[in-house]
Amino acid sequence: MQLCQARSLSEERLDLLTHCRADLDNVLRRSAREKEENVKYASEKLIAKLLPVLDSLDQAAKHDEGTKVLYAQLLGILSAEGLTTIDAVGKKFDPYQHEALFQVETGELEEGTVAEEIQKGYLFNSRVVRFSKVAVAKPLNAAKI
Amino acid sequence: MSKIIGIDLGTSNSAAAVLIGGRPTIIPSAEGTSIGGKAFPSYVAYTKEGQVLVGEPAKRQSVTNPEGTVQGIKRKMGTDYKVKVYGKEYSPEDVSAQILRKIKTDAETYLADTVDKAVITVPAYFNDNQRQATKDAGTIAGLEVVRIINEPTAAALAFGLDKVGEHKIMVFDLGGGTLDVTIMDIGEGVFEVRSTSGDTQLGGRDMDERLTNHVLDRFKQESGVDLRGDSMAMQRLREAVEVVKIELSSVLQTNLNLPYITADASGPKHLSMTLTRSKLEELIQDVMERCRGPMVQALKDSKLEKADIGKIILVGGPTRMPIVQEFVKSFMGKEIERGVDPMECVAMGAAIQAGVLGGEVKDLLLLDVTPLSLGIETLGAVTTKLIERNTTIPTRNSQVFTTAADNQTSVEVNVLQGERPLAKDNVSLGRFTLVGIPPAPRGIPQVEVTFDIDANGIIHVSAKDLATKKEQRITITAPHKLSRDEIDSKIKDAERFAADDLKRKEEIEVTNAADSLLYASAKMLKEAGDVATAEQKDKIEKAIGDLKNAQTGGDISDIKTKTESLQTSIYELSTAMYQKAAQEQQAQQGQSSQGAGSEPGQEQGSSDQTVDADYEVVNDKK
Repeated sequence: MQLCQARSLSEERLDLLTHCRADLDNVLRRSAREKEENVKYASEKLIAKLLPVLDSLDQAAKHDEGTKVLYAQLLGILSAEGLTTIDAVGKKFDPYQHEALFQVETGELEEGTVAEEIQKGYLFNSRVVRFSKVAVAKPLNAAKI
Repeated sequence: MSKIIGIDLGTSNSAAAVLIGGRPTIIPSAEGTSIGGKAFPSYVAYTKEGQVLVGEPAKRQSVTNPEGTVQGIKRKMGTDYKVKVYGKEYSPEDVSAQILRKIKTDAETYLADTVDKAVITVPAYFNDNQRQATKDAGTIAGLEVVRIINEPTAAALAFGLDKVGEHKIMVFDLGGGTLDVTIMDIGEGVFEVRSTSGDTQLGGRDMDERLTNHVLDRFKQESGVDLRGDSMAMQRLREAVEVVKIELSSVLQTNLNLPYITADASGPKHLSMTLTRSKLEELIQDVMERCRGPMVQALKDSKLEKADIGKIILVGGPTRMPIVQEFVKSFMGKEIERGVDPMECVAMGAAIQAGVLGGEVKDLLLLDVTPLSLGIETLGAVTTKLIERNTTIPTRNSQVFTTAADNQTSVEVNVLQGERPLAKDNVSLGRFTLVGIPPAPRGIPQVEVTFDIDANGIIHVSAKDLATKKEQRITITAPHKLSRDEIDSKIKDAERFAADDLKRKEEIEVTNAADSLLYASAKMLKEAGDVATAEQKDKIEKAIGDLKNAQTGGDISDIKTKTESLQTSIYELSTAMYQKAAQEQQAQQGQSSQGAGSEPGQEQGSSDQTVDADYEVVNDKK
């Protein structure tokens, strides 16, 4: 009787131990993966924070030659790091790259195409760091459901 | 066997978590995390092309596809409502199943294993139909829902409230769009809801609106421009306002800067204003007031007084704001529980329940740690740490020590707890002595000291002479149950005195090094015999004398210099000795010289090593 109990207890313990060991292995494996990703995307947070500055410079560049140069300079450095703009206007709306703010009625563009870019979107090393904010085309006088 | 996951299926946002190593961990959403935290929006979109989108992507296209995008389906669970899109019909369970399916996929990716079972949370006021619908949604998604638990219960589990006796608790859940107040009995295996109350149209979104309107009005006043018609400006503004609102939870004021926000006939316009926490609190005063009613109602319905409530927990992003915390605290007249993120606690609590059901969590729920470092006292009355603070227990560590004086036949082990480098500044948990060490020159004996802390936090310290195998040990059962505050203040002390302590420790090390060197030098001189020239002998003896004087003098830098000069003169002698030994070896042709042997060269070599840091020195019993 005691032997039975002892045996089942020891089986329970072995099971728990195996689980713990497996957990540990998985965590180590995941840590290694995450560490690699962190290194690759280390600058992502900082770059995301700089995007509003890019926006402001972009706007300012419209009014001032000097700022235009400044904007190009900053954009150049960030591009070298892996920053690219997301293509929006004229492309088919893609919810994995664009965010639709509203629709515009137009006869010139196919339905579901990006008609206007409200805010530029960016990719950093092929990961979206900010989605493009766009207006999407819909046909004229679309029937209301 | 795969893990059971815990799911918080919310009206506005959903999240999932799982126990890893006994700790609840949020499962990341495949599309990345949003601004507030680790949850994703509870949006499901059916596109004209027959695609199904869930979460952030569904939200992003909602404006282009209002007929096909569904949000807040939780409000319809347990009803006959049907979602009609593009000629097809879906029940609320079907829609929720899409969300659960996405969670299942994310979890399987994260855990690199199949996931078939889940614990899902529901509001405390959900009736049987609503609970069954939630279970059915799981089944459709390919998940066996092994348990449905109440959201306030899950939150209480995450805070560990079920482990500290019996309590009556209040759960204040303020989310993006709803407020739910629940009063519960909890503890000793009991989780019973006494009453619930709330407001289904009150939340963080209202706060965002107040702040945005304020900024718009102020800007109009200052510049004459109304931004409400400018979609690009509004977009930038909304994003910036949300960031400001979150920032004001940790700072008292912050700047909102949006240069070139818009342009009119007179040129470009810039938005730049300072927003203070007090202004924000003023703006949302009416939102806070509306939180009072549900608390009053819930108490009334539970037939309890404020004083009867033992613990209060806050759930939901907006409860991170100081004003919300203050409001609840001052209404109830007691502190709120802290330590778990209010946006993650429901999912985490579900994961804990999942772990219990999965058999992961038996006796080893959460492992303890040692709050303060443990070590022993060594030569110079310094502390040598063997177990660092915050090490998870059970744990063990061993280190080999040696004697401080010739013919030392016993060592006293003084077990110390604390962070300071000097033994006298730490707490002595106990002492014991190991006797019967064979007489030997200092630095030769090997005494292995082992610290073994078991799962209950009991400390076993042993000292074993590796030569005789003689061992002595001590067991420390209740090492000073220090409160959190006491522990924190000890750690702060260590940091505060770190510079001073370091200086004093270095001084002790210099003194120790000087002592060791004097001992080794005297020994070497004796053993060198004729190898040392009269000149070398004089030089070394003078250096020894100088060092002894410096020691009496007590000037640390002087001791250091004299130690170095003695060391240099010794090196000359030892080099000469090695050269002689090498010559002797060459003279003995064909003889193996690999063994340790009794050649003078080897012996001197090992006596040199006693000066190294390899061996620490144990204090002699005085």
